[in-house]
Amino acid sequence: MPSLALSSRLRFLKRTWDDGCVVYVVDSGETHLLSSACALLLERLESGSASLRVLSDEFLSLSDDLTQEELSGLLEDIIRSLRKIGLIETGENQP
Amino acid sequence: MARRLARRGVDLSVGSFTIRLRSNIPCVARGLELLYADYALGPAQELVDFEIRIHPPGVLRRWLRPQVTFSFEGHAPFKPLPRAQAFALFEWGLNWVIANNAHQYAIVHAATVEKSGRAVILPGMPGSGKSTLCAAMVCRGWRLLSDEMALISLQDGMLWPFPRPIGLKNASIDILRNYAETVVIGETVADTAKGTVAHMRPPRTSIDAARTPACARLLAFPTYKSGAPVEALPLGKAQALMRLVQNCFNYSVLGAAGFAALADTVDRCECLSIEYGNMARAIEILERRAMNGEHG
Repeated sequence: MPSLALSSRLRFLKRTWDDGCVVYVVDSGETHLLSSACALLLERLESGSASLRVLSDEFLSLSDDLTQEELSGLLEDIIRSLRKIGLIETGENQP
Repeated sequence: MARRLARRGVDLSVGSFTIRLRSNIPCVARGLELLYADYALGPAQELVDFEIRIHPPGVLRRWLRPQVTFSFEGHAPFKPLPRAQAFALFEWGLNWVIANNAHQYAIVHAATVEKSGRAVILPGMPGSGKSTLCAAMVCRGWRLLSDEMALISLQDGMLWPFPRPIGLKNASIDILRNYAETVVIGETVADTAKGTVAHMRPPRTSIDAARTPACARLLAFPTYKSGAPVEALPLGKAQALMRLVQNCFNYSVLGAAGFAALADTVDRCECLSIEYGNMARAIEILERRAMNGEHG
């Protein structure tokens, strides 16, 4: 299964607060407001790449009120928005 | 003054900047004499930070109608304006000069005031009421740092003063004229791009403390709404940072350093949005929040 990783090409700075996360992409000069869930995934990927399945399991363990289906939808949305601004990329296959 | 201003120019010390102004337009000299009465207006020195001229444009334009041009370091970045707007043009042009050149600061379009070592940043687009609120706070004993720009040091995040005459527009002019007996307001000029404008003289105490920076503790985004009750709502810091970025003149020039300076400012401050129709009540709330804010 392909893994997700932080972009190896983009350098960015981020600040996280209760209401979300603001990311400054050094290479483009763009600033983005991201949800707290996006911030959580970014923080997770800072400690290393992971497959979607692993991420899904980890996120499920953090949530006590989301079903697997709801979580999958949420993860898809997060990944889509982070990919759109180039912060994450698909890495090498992981088991 | 008028002769000195027209010939060698006058060196004006405002905060950490020295500006050389030359002009042969009488209303510029009158504006300086009245509104910069408490500043150090020295004779021309060897070194200044910025050189500005307010002067009549070329012969043809002068022949068409009486106008004035703003020149900075020999270039005229704006179209000429009617002669009656010469002093306002100096003020607006000086804002432009600082915003485009003082990149040792993150420069946010905001009024900034301070009391008891705790500064309040009031960012806002034109019409948000920030200058009126700032002028009224100054009349109530707050130190004026600037009515137009928050100068946030990239080195240590402190707010540096740049206290100059406070720009007032339209109804605000009479509101402030009637607000306190000590208010001194310069010539009123109608039909400018901003409507009717005038400038209020800053207090002597603010000018004397113009080299003393302050630490920001409250970041409040004001919106004036006639007749509305005062409503101050907490603003999330991520949202506040995005709004600060939108109001930062030189963000694209500063890059990562600008982001860090603004994010640190947000971290230091309690953040809120405040809608108000009653100035006295708004000031009361801002004062309470600034003095007893979450950041101690």
